[in-house]
This record gives sequence, structure tokens and C-alpha cells, in this order.
Amino acid sequence: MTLSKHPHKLYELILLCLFGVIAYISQVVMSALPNIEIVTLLFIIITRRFGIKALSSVYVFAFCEILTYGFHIWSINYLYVWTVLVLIILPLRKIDNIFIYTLIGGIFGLLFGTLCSIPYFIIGGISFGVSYILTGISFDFLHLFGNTITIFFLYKPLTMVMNKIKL
Amino acid sequence: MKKKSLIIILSVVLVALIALFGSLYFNNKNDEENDPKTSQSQNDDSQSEKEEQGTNITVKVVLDDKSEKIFEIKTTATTLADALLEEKLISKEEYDAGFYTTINGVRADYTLDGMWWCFYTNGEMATTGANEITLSEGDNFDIVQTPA
Repeated sequence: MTLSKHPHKLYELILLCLFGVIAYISQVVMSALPNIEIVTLLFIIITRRFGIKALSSVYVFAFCEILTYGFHIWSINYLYVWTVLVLIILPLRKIDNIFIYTLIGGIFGLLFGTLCSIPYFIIGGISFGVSYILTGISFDFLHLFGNTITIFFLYKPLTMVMNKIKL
Repeated sequence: MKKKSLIIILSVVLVALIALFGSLYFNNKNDEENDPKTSQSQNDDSQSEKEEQGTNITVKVVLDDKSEKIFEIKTTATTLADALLEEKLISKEEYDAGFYTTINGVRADYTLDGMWWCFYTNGEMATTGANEITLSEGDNFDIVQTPA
């Protein structure tokens, strides 16, 4: 397959890369607010519209993050945490219900620190991993709060915008 | 109906997780507050602050080859991270990031060296970051270069 023979595929690919960059910009702009972000919401909406192809956006986002902040232990998190979110949304993507996605976003926010702790369990053993989770619990609650608010208020308008895109 | 049951399941999961994380958080907090060593030294701390305007702490940096360097520090800083920065044991960049790979000029970067710095407060492994460890009079901190 060549992309020039399938312009709609090229268009889709560009859109997906663009969404990854938008997610990255939103993260940088909102980085002053602790664990308040719209990346979760964006990936939920992108997955609902594009299915498994949303992983392209996820990895463009992860690539931009690593380019900006450098490769550290926590960079490993970016390589799988958002993929987990995409895989959770994938089987539910035909359902259009704000409460379901608000709840999933909230749970994902609360479990974000736990998901990110996996490399620390591998590096430093159980005590290091557990202390990493315990240290971050207050931030996880902030993440739960932030995700719930952003998804509840922005899910509908952003879904409307996403549905306007013609493929 | 399917949507409804999914919402109920997700709500139950969320409530259970909030309860679990909440109890973990408060247990962890209470453990720190009820630690007799900590509360005793906190009292000492407030007294000595009145008298001398500073807290005396000991920081021991232990390297992988078991060699160690002891720093007797008198500081007005409130957290361990502030005291380490004051003593120039950590850099401003790592102080800001809250994650320390270089202590007293010795690097323990997991990705580069396969080692990390493990913090101990009065012999017990720290459960919070150095920027959240408050200083009390006579505290002993061990910072141990630990192989992964």
C-alpha cells in the first residue's frame, strides 16, 4: 500500500499525529497544575473515534514528552500507561455515555501512580514500589478529581468536535 | 441495561479504590505521626529552635563499596531536601525535580549505573520523598547507594 494511492489513510495518519501533538501541548501548558490534565480525556475521545489507531497518537505524545524531558525511569511509564487506557476504552468505544467515561477516567487517574510504579517494583523491589505508591497517593487523588471534572465538562463538546471530522 | 450495569460496576470499583487508597494514605500518615521517635524529637526540635535557631541532623552517605561519609549538619531548613541543597549534597535541578541521582557528587542513575539512592530516616526506609521528610532535632539520615 502506498499512501499516495490512499489519500484518506494519509489524512488519517496526519490527524492522529496531530492529536498526539495536541495532547503533548496540552500537557506542557497544564504542567503547572499538579496532575490536572486533559490527556486522558483526549485519548479516550481519540480511541472512541479511531480505535486501535489511537496508539499512533499515544506514541507521538510519548515521543514528544521524552524529547522534551529526556529519557528517565519515569519515561518508561509513558510507553505503556496510555496504552493501557486505549486498551480499556477499545471494547467500549461504541458506547456514548459520559458517566462511563467519567468513571473510567477517574479510576485511571486514581490508579495512575500504581500503574507508573511498575518499573520501580522491578528496579528496587517491593518496598521501593510500595513506597513510591504511598508517596504519590495524594497526587493520585488530585488526578482522580482532575480527570473527573475535565471529562465530565469537556467530554461532550470535544466529542462533538471529533464527530465533525470527516474521514 | 448494559450501560446501567457497567456504570454500577465502575462506580463500585471507584468507591472501593477510593476507600483502599484513602485508608492507605491515612494509615501511612498516622504511622508517621505516632512514631514516638519522631514526636519526641519534634518536641525537642521546637525547644532547640527557640534556643539555637537551628536543627542538628546527621546525614550519612553510604556508597556501594560500603565506604561512607558523615555530615553533621546544623540547619534552619524544614525538610531533608532543603538541608541537602543547603549543604550542596544535591543540585538545584534535582532538588526542583524531586528525584535524586547524584548525592555528594556520586551518581546512582538506574538507567546508567544500575543503582539508586535509598533514603533511611532513623534506620527506617523512607516512605516519602526527601522534600516531604521534615527535620527533627537529632535525626539520622542514611542515603545508601543501592544496586538495582
